[in-house]
Amino acid sequence: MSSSPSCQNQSKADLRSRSSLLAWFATALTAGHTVYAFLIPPTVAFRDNDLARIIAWHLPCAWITTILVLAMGFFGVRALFKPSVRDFARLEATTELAVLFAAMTLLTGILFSRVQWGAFWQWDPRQTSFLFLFFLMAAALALRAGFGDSEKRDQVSAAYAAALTLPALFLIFVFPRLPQVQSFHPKQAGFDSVYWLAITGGLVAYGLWTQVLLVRRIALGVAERTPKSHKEDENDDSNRGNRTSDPVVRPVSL
Amino acid sequence: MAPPNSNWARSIASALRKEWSAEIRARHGFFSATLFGLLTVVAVSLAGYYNQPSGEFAALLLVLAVLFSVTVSVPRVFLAEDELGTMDTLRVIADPYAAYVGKVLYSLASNALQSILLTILFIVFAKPEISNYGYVIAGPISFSLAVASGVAFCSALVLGATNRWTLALVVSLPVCLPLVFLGVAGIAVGFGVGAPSTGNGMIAIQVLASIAWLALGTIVAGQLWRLDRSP
Repeated sequence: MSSSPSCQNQSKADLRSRSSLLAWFATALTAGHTVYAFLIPPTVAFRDNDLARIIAWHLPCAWITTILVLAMGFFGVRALFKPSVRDFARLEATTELAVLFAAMTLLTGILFSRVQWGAFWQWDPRQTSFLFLFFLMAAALALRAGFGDSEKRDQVSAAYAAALTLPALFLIFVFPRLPQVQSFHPKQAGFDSVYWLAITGGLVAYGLWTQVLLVRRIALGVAERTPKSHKEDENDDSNRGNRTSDPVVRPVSL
Repeated sequence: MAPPNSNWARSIASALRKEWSAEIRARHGFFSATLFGLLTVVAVSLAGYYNQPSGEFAALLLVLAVLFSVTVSVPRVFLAEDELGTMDTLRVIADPYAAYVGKVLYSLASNALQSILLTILFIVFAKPEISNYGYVIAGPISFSLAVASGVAFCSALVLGATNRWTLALVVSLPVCLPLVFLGVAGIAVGFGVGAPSTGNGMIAIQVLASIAWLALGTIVAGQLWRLDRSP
């Protein structure tokens, strides 16, 4: 289905305004979540009950990372077997955000480990599996950086992301739950409803941020992959009437 | 994805023969990789210079020696051909899926042999206490198979990249890290740590991981190597 340039510009403007609105909403929600997470009473059953509220940031980041890793695998498979510019851009965006959220998960986890378990790094199975997961995704960025040709870069990234699903699923869902693995992480989290509200609020707030950033990064990725001459025509908002009858619109320097 | 033609097995055998011929013609690659493995074994064995290493520590040292040996030798099968410029020819004249499987099977066979050699050298140099020779031999072989198939997939991805040798290592190591735990647990049984059932389980998981990486790599890398792709 084709649409006129003015319609495309209109839809782009709509998308931009919706994205801005979502960004403002996410900002307000993040601020509210931060204030709430600091105001809730300390929980019990932790070594430092007051600082256990790090969980309100740590868990949402870990969950969002998991979702992004699964999305990476999905877009990787799609882009590999049915190559499309949009899926390549989606894969690039999800990879970058997955690395970002994995880094935030590790960082908040390291702080939690220090205050609750006495050391920044414990080789806890969940800590270790997330570190490996972070390395897997960071390697995806290194792989992207290794190719100058954007088409080859996209294809290789798609292949890597598709294959990444297998070790990622093992590290996220299987390895920490193996019967012989002993973890500091509780099997069943015993938080009260106030804490769960903080955790869910964090998931919604940072989930919205993820959505905002994904939309913008995908739009940028699609624009980067669109041929320049085509892009200039799309962005040309001066109304020159019927293009087919008047194709020459700007001087060309030789 | 189904193999594109019925002569698939013959194509794989041809690719395997081609790899073997290339190896025989220029043996320096295999010798360099083996020498690197030997140097790694000597370097890690220095950890037991003053004291005999404990069972788990000896297993870790042996796993590290095999890991570094494999991560250096497997990319050679793919990247040397890329540097010579014959990779594109291979992709044109051979079925990409069969070419990939042939290369991986050759890598698996050569690395299994190399791991046996490294294990013998490790026993000689580090002098660990051995309680079951079966696990000490089968553990490194299964570990090398699992690691080699993962590294082969990563090496197939970095063809044509800048700094491809370094990139192959950087991409391969995160894929191999989870296997280190399995490798150590499997080999440690041979050094008297853990129950035989644990050793059997770990070896079985590594063999399955090797098969999974081979299957996944064939589908993904084969798809990537096909020339008629464009977005």
